[in-house]
Amino acid sequence: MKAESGLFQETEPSRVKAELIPERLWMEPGKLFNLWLRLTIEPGWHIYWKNPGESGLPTTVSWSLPPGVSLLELSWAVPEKFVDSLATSYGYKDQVLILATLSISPEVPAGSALRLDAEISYLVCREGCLPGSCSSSLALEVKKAAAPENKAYRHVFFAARLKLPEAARWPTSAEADQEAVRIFFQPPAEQDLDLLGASFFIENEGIIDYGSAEKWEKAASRYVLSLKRAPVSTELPAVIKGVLVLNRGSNQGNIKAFSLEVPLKEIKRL
Amino acid sequence: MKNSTLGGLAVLFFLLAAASLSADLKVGEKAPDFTGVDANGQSHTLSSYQGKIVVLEWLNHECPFVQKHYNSGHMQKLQKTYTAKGIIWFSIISSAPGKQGYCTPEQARVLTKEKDAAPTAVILDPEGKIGRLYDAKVTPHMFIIDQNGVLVYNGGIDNIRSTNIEDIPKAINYVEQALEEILAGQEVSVKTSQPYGCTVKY
Repeated sequence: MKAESGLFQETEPSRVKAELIPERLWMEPGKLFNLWLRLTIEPGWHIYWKNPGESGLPTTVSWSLPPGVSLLELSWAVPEKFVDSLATSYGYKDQVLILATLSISPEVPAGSALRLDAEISYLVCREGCLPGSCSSSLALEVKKAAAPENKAYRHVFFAARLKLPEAARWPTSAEADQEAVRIFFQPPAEQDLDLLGASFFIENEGIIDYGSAEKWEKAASRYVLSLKRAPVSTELPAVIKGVLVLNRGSNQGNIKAFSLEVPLKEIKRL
Repeated sequence: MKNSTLGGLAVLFFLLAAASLSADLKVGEKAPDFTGVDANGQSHTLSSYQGKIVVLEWLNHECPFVQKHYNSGHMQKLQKTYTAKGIIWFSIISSAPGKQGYCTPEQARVLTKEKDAAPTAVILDPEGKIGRLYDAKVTPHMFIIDQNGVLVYNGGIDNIRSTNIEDIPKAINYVEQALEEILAGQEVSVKTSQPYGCTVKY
């Protein structure tokens, strides 16, 4: 039996390390503030995206923020697919950066140092899985002056930003029958997007059969993505959410990720 | 005339779709038969239990999702409650030799005793034949077969996907709910759900 057998919780040292990295050197009252959360995962192991897919558990972040500081949005990097015996899952290996957009109230007094805490709960898997948690804290000053960027991490932020999906602001629609969920979308021509190596990560749990191939078609300027319905399907949501990854300029590897939020129309057949 | 042709086509489409799905395991249809050998060397054939309700539970004692239900004593309680009511409960281990959760017959006997588990039998399926026949994806993945040999439930143990013991009292246990409904002569209200857990280590 393996060393981890019989353990209910992961023990020290944990397989996932957390680090809070500020994009600028201090916070300004009345401004937004970008705070990055870097998770470093032990080689060979992986953790999960907000929808873990067929196995695993969502990674969650719980924040302790001082009065006057609130979390506006958490942007997750594009995950990757893990295919493990029978299950297809969505997650991260090695390293992932998640962007927290914080709002700093104009009331926050300048001259103080504020403590920001994040506690991360995850299920970390290789062949077997272990639930665990890790945390990171940061004390940052508040100043009424333009905050300089955190230059030491400039390349880290640049690379991380490329992996964050941007909201797709083009016509999309979606329909579902008993067989499949179909998403129609029409990116503007100047985006020069290509279906080669395209993939989709659905955020809604339990709707599609994760193991079935995604079927992509292009008719004129319109794309259609067909996803097979799950054999044990739950009720359909009103909105399909997910991340669409497309190639840009037909260059393999030059990917662009878009987040989609599409109202879903149910089509009843006989 | 045109309308009736379209109607005919729609019916044909539906039949084709139904035919292509029937290869899959379906709730409401006859459960596939199997024979498996338990940790005591005894052989069990599903069809020989016709007339009884049968629960299939996929098991891997090293999986934290399974540990959630065993460390809380909740799985054992279900096994005791329902085997006492004449229900047949098979815990099936489909882990391959060398993979997480694999048990020799002796290890399975020791673990069953240690955990105070009370299934009718722990069936060892190291080649994954029964697991693949049922397309068991995770541990614990749960199936219920009624007195007529019809599959009436395929899914998770409950509705809260977590490894946290504290979630058990808050969850709707679909297996308990379905068994109570069958025992009361009612139709199973929740027949499928997304199973959650560790992948079966075939």
